[in-house]
Amino acid sequence: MATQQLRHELALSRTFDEAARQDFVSALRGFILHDMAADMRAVYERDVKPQAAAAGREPKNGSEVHAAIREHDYFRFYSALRVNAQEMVWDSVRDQVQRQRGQVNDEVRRRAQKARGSVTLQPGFEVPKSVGSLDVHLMPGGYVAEAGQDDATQGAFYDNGAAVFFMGLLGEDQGDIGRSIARFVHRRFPDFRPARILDLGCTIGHNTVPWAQEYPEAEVYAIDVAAPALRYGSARAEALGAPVHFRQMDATKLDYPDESFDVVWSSMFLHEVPLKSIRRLLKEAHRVLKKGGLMLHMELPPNRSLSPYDGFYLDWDSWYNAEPFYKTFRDQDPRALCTEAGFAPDKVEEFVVPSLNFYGEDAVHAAAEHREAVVDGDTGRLASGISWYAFGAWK
Amino acid sequence: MSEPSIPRYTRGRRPHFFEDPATDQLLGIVLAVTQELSVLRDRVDAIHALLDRKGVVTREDLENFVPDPAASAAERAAYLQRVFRVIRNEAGVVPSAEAEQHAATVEKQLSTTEG
Ligand SMILES: C[S@@+](CC[C@H](N)C(=O)[O-])C[C@H]1O[C@@H](n2cnc3c(N)ncnc32)[C@H](O)[C@@H]1O
Repeated sequence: MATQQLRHELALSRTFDEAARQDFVSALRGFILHDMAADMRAVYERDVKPQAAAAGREPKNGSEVHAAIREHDYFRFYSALRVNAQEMVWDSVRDQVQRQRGQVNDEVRRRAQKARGSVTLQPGFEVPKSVGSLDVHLMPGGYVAEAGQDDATQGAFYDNGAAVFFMGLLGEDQGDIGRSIARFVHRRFPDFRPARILDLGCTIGHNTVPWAQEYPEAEVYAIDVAAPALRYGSARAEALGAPVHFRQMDATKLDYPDESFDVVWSSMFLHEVPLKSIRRLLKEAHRVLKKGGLMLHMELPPNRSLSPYDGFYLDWDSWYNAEPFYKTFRDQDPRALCTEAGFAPDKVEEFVVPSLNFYGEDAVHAAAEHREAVVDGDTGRLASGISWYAFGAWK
Repeated sequence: MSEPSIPRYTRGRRPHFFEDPATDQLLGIVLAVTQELSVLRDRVDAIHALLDRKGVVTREDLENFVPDPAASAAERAAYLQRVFRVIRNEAGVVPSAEAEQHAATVEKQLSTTEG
């Protein structure tokens, strides 16, 4: 496991030591998420669960597993190492980005002038508190910190941090999630030809660009509340040859007419949004979708399809990685969320899609032909076998 | 030139897991040192590789040296196994490849001395 070396034209140079520090952090994360995770599960099965059961309190859900395991030394080491590794992700790219921020901003400005896509920001835009007041996944400054009117630094910070965080699992453009799922949809529904696609909570468009590449005829739009991410994302999409229209917008209040999109997509977005806003934005997604259009959200799988231990394992982020809305979201029933937003129960979809980068094209095509979605303890985890979970509905 | 700075620290309370938060902090220091040692190991490996290849090392060659990704990932993974040996040992549930090999060697030695 090593840091992904970025290959697009906004990629920054790394000194020898910077690259070595980043590779170390990726390897450390690999060790924690693979070896230590396996140990911790074994410790749970061997010691924690039987002890709790003997006391008449066998854990029935993730919170009860958490309560039973949290005093255990293995959990303490796992968690302390994981928090440190998370901080080190950002620390290992900070100086690299800081040193080159002037360059990044020049490049972003230069590309904006000859763009085929666009970026539209709203002066005086009000960033929701759930984003502005929080350093989600411990990223210093969060998504929105900026120094002046056309600063894209936090976007570059995020791109380079993600390259360390994802340990090289998502490919050179870090677009594996969007690419795998867009390909899957294309294969499973060959007659579905979206003309307009919208990505909600796109950040820097890692998983927007693959939709533009999978459906080159489509017009692709992407919204987020974070201005630096949109600036950087727009230049990055240009560099990758994908025209995307980025706009600063709140997903709960879409400034698009009714029935104006064929696909409304998001990835790793909903778990960072308070439940009340999720309900609102799903209604908005329903409103802007055309009849016959598809809403699709890539997410971590819901707790209801996981064992108590697996639920606990994924909920760790909610307790310790500055993801306060994550568990509440994962406790919901995705089907109910869709139907409450106005979708018909028989139009709801759940997919488990093998990672294109990890398993290759044949596996994705085979999954598209095969009907059942099977969620297991590895779904959505950055473990040795990777598959992505998505849910949504047709309108 | 004074560019504005990316913040160095995260807002919010830092979680701690051990009874004494100083233990968490110490672990952070140990990890940072482990990381710096890993960087140094990479440097030494790069110097050796360049010496093997050319007989001399310039700073520029070193700065531009790109190690073989698979080999250095394997090397780093083995390094981490050694550093965290006690923690995995504590769990006592996953016999490491090393431990298994050691056991096998001992067994073999025993059988030859006895036989
Ligand atoms: C984890 S990131 C999403 C990553 C991205 N979709 C990807 O696949 O790489 C979550 C994003 O949601 C954005 N966000 C949070 N609340 C939002 C809202 N109400 N409307 C639009 N964007 C929002 C944040 O600014 C952040 O960029």
